[in-house]
Amino acid sequence: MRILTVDDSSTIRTIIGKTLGELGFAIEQAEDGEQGLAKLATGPVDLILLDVTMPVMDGPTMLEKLRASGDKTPVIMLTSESKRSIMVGAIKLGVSDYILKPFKGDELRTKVLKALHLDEATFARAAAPVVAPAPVAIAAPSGDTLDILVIDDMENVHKKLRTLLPEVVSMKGCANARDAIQACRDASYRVIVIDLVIPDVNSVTLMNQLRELQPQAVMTALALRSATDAATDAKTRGFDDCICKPFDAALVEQWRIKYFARAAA
Amino acid sequence: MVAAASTAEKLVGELGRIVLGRISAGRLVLPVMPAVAQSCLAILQDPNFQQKKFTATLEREPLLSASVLRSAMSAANANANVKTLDQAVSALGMQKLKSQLVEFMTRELFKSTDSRIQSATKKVWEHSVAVATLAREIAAMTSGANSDTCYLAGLLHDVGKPILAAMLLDAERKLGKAKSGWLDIAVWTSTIESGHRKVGVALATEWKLPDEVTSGISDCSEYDSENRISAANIVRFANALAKREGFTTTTVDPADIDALIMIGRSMLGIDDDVIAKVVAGLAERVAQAA
Repeated sequence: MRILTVDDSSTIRTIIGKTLGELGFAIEQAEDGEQGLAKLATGPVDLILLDVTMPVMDGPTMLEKLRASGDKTPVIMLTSESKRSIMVGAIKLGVSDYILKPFKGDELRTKVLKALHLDEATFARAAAPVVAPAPVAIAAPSGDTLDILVIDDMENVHKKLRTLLPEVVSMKGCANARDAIQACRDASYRVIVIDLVIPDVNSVTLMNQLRELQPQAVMTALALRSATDAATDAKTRGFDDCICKPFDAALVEQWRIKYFARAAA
Repeated sequence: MVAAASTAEKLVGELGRIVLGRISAGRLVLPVMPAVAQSCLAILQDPNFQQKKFTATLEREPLLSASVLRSAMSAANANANVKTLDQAVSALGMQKLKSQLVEFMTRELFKSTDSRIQSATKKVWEHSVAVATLAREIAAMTSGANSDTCYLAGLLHDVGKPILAAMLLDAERKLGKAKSGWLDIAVWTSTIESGHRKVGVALATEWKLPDEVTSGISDCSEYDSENRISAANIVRFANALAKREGFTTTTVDPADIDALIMIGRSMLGIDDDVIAKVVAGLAERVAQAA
């Protein structure tokens, strides 16, 4: 597949060529809109990465001429320009996406593959030996496997649960969603315990996000003991299991045995 | 009818000029922050936070106390055991209390005994809650911005609208034109749209709100590319998302919204799956909070 990059910066064209070349794409280059149209006249491409501000002919003018000629090649605007009005015009001319400079290789790869309707996972695996890790949503955690991740804004909850678990069961605690997401990028967990009331984020939204990062993990809701029918409520919301706080040692033990039966009490 | 509409248009234009003139001359009289709320915020910001002092101060404002109690006892929090204000303060925690205070003060600004203002600002309030909810979740899940600041900035980004609406009503009364039905709501709305940002910024300054909150109020239509991951940019993105999800107070151009979402995704480095997750069930969450 051929991709045309139209940008007056040779550094940007080189980065694009290297990043997408590693995925097996053939990269054509042009320094401005006029050169870009001339390249297209020699043969079609599958995707155009188009800068906005360039000498001779800018990106919006090239896009306008391209569409006026009936050419519907997908276009991603790749620019340091973040003015809404410019993008409104580009959207009306059917651009597929937008990348703001400076950009990360992951973003470029993801958006190019999406614009070309290609399977991201396949390309990420193919590129794995030579490029940065695959995009977060599909990347496997790089670190160790741990037993339990507890997400609760009250650190004494982590501490209390730790005291109720045998030492052989490994546990990490996080006080907010951001740390929890990072923890799930860094390591694998068998069970993830999520407080149903976390400041700043809806716990179900967080659970769904973590489930994508850790599809193997058992998602356990951490409900208040005073809540009515917490277990049913948690399952309705999509959790696999539920435990209650303040913790009851016997109930925590029952819960622990379900997932870590061989761990010595 | 045409003549009546034209007269109304002129009158609203005149009222708008009066109010905007007051703003530019620095003669704007803004709602003051209730003393109790101000004291409570000061206690919360004190590194040697004293819960008893906080609760005692809070008790002086019954409506605010009720709001804190209700929040702690709400179904979402499931704190059925909370029975006293002190327990409610413990259950909510400092961060949540801070949000609760500003939310309470902001909500008061959106209330009006005038049915026209009440109906015009109801949608603005729902939109603001949607933006605040999205901004907080986006910050919590993706960026380095403070999610509490993002929530407040979202809640306050249109705060100038109800204030300006009340000012227009006041000016209208002074001109002796407060006759039911005289007002062309579209022209009135457009006057508010054109002036609310200045009023909002003036209020944020008066209330000594964080700079990032003020920045979110001053411009919601263009991102700040110098400071990519900022509360103001997150609010701009959340504002576009909320509008796309139907939480809007005016007619919007879909290409305009798509452009803001497209730029925001790259500016903030947000994956499509995160967007899908934060907007899921938004209507229910807003209905609960609003």
